Amino acid sequence: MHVLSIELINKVDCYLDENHEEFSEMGQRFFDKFGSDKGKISTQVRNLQQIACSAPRFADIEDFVKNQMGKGDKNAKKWRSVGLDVLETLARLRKSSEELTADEYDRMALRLRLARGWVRAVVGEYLYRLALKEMEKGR
Amino acid sequence: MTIVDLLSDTVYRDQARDQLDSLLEKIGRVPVKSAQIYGLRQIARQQPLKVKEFAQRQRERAERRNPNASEIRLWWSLVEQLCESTTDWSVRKEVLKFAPEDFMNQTKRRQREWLDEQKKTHRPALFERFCTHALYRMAESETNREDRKK
Repeated sequence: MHVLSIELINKVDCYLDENHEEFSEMGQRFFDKFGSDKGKISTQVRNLQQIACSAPRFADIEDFVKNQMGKGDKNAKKWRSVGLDVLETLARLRKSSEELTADEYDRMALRLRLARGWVRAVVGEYLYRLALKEMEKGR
Repeated sequence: MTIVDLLSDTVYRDQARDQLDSLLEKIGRVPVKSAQIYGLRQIARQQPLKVKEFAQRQRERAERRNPNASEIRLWWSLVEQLCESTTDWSVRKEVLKFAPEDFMNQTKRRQREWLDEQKKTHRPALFERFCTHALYRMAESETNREDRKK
């Protein structure tokens, strides 16, 4: 496992903090598009989170989004409405990692860390919206 | 984190996208069926050393069926090129950048063995990106077609 310096980790955390609002908006869009599976987190959102947290390569996350957009099932249409923006965000994360360091292995570890921070913000907002909806139902 | 991880995330991703998009600029669309792309991906995962032969067979079959199938020919030629070309970019050229210092002094057989060993891990990495990008482009043009109909 590649170990990042504290300085680089701090830079990533600052970047994630600065962009948190924008990432949260994506979470709202995911909620609007995918809704919930019987009051629970949508499988699509859960799968995105799983892949972002476990992928050994950043491009696996990009490929996951492309694959979902390319499938012929009912979810593909929903993915196609958010997918391009997700891919653009991922491209921006990749670029940011390149701006933070010149070392290729550092860059790879950085973009994975960025992706994990990004998905945390997206899913966090998604779950918050889901909770609000469930609370409304309960009233 | 291995060199294959790194290349898969950078060079292979970029080459797969750029080479494919450049072909699509010329021919306009992915000329094969999605089943053939899934087939290519399976071959690359399970029998990476057979990818070039697979592409060659598919190209020859397309030529036999329709001598004017130039788009399909170009598609499979690109797959062959990505595997082995010594002039354009290829996995072979990429892995040779990481060959051991004494590679050129080794016997032909040893060189081939080393190259085959590399191909087993590098080819699946490239074609994973290539096939996903191709399916993505197919879906994109399908969506565009549907939008135009509306």
